[in-house]
Amino acid sequence: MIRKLFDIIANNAVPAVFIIISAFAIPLSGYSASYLVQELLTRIGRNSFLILSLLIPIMAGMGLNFGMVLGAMAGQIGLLFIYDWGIVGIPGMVLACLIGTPIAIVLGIFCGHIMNRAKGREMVTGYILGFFINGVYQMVVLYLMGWIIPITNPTLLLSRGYGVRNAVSLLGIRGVLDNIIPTIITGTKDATQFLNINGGKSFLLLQLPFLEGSIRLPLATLIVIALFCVFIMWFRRTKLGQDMRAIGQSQSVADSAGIPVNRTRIIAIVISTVLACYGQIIYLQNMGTLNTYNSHDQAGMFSIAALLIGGASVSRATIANVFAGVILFHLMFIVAPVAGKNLIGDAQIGEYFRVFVSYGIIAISLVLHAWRRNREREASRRSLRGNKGGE
Amino acid sequence: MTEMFNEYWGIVRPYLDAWGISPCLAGVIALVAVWLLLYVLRGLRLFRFLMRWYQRIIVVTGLVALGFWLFYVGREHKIFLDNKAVNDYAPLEQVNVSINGGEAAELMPKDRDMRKAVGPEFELKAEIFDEKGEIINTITRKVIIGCSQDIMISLPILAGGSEDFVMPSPR
Repeated sequence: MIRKLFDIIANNAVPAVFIIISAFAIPLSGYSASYLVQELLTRIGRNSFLILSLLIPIMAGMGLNFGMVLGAMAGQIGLLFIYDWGIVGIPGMVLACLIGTPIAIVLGIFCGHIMNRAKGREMVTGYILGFFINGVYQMVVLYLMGWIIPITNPTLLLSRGYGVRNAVSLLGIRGVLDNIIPTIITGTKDATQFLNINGGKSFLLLQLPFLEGSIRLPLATLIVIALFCVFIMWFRRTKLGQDMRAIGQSQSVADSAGIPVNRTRIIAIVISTVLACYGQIIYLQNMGTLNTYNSHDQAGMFSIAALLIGGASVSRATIANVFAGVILFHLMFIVAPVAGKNLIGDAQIGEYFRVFVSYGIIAISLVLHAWRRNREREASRRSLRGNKGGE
Repeated sequence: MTEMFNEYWGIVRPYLDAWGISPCLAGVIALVAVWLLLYVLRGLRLFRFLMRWYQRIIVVTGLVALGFWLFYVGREHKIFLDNKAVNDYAPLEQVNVSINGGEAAELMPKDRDMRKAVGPEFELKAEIFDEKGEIINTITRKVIIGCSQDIMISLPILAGGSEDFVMPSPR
């Protein structure tokens, strides 16, 4: 009984801690419910695709794919090209995806081959591989673009004539996906001000009687994310998905069953890298600014942090974990600085607290996972020995 | 490479024109013909290998074609509107120009302004005023830019009735 209770607590410790902290921080921040919902919806639209791209390698038993930054870099290269050529709107975004896809596939194959040589240590390998490819990316963007790779737009280049500037404005594609179906959720009291704008015909207006204020809903982005969730659910039932799950359970058993383990693992990483490429493009179209040398840096860390906070582990993650993680992780981002300021008088303290708690929790969840795995291994060993001497 | 393509295209094009087949339809016919040829050869061991590569080539070609189409329809062009004297055409007293029904640019003599348009063509509307500020002429034209990056429109030439009002970008 106590052991069961302990297991339940251990399995849900991370989300539980975040829920408790949020329950204290939200009233302290003083934010209204509509503001928090607006911010959360924006962040769900911005980050969910990136986090969902982590699910397939976990399914294949490859742990958290720190190598997803490779896909993010591929997406950024696509965005740099469309900026240079002056392609805007949805065509620009789709073209960035088209350009990024082959780059992401090549990087994914490379990453998959390396991870196959480092079985059991995929996460740290992916993490270091991210740094390595970052060096290659910087060489391409800082030295080859404008010199060997033709860049015609002078606003993209550094004053020396080659190399891309650090800050690139993505005004041409800013919010294009979010605003394809402009949707506003508003309370009955505030509905009239929106109905006065072009007769309320330029956007979809949803009225909720209890709501105060208004919320802009990135409907098209949420539809894309929903379709991606459906894809993941469908993919799990396919032959390839089943193979990945079998490999995730036991590589040796899967190999004995005739599943090409190495090839399937490479496919898992390629899919994840390509989806991370699309995720980064969706993320940056929402942000509207590309930091050429930094945007991809935190993509992996933030996505993995959010997934772990959602209750996922290195070996098991679901779609529900993704959304729970985005909500809890980003709720801390929103409320922690203001809660800190209102409590202590300094917003920086709240931010320190958020960083300390968020990443401390991630470390704890990884330690808990290792401890649980060791315990399970020990239990299975004990069961093999049998119940000798009344043990 | 381009020269070689042009040479072969020069041989094929007259036949297509004579038979009344568009280049796009000819491409589809070619793809179907290759598929039929492979289907006839299905008894061979090589068939599966060839068919796999054929399918890959079709997918890659389709994606490249999609990329070109996106490039064509999504490109943003800077349209410079110029009201300076050119050759025998004197600048206009005042002209209001709008692109695709957007915000109008008001240009006095020697003025130059810039507007943006997305896609391979745009609609230009120019309202020409006299010295008293009354509209004397309204010109509406559909301008096809194609893939070129930026262009300049000489409003005196446009008002003069000549078709050579599209000029290269001043940059």
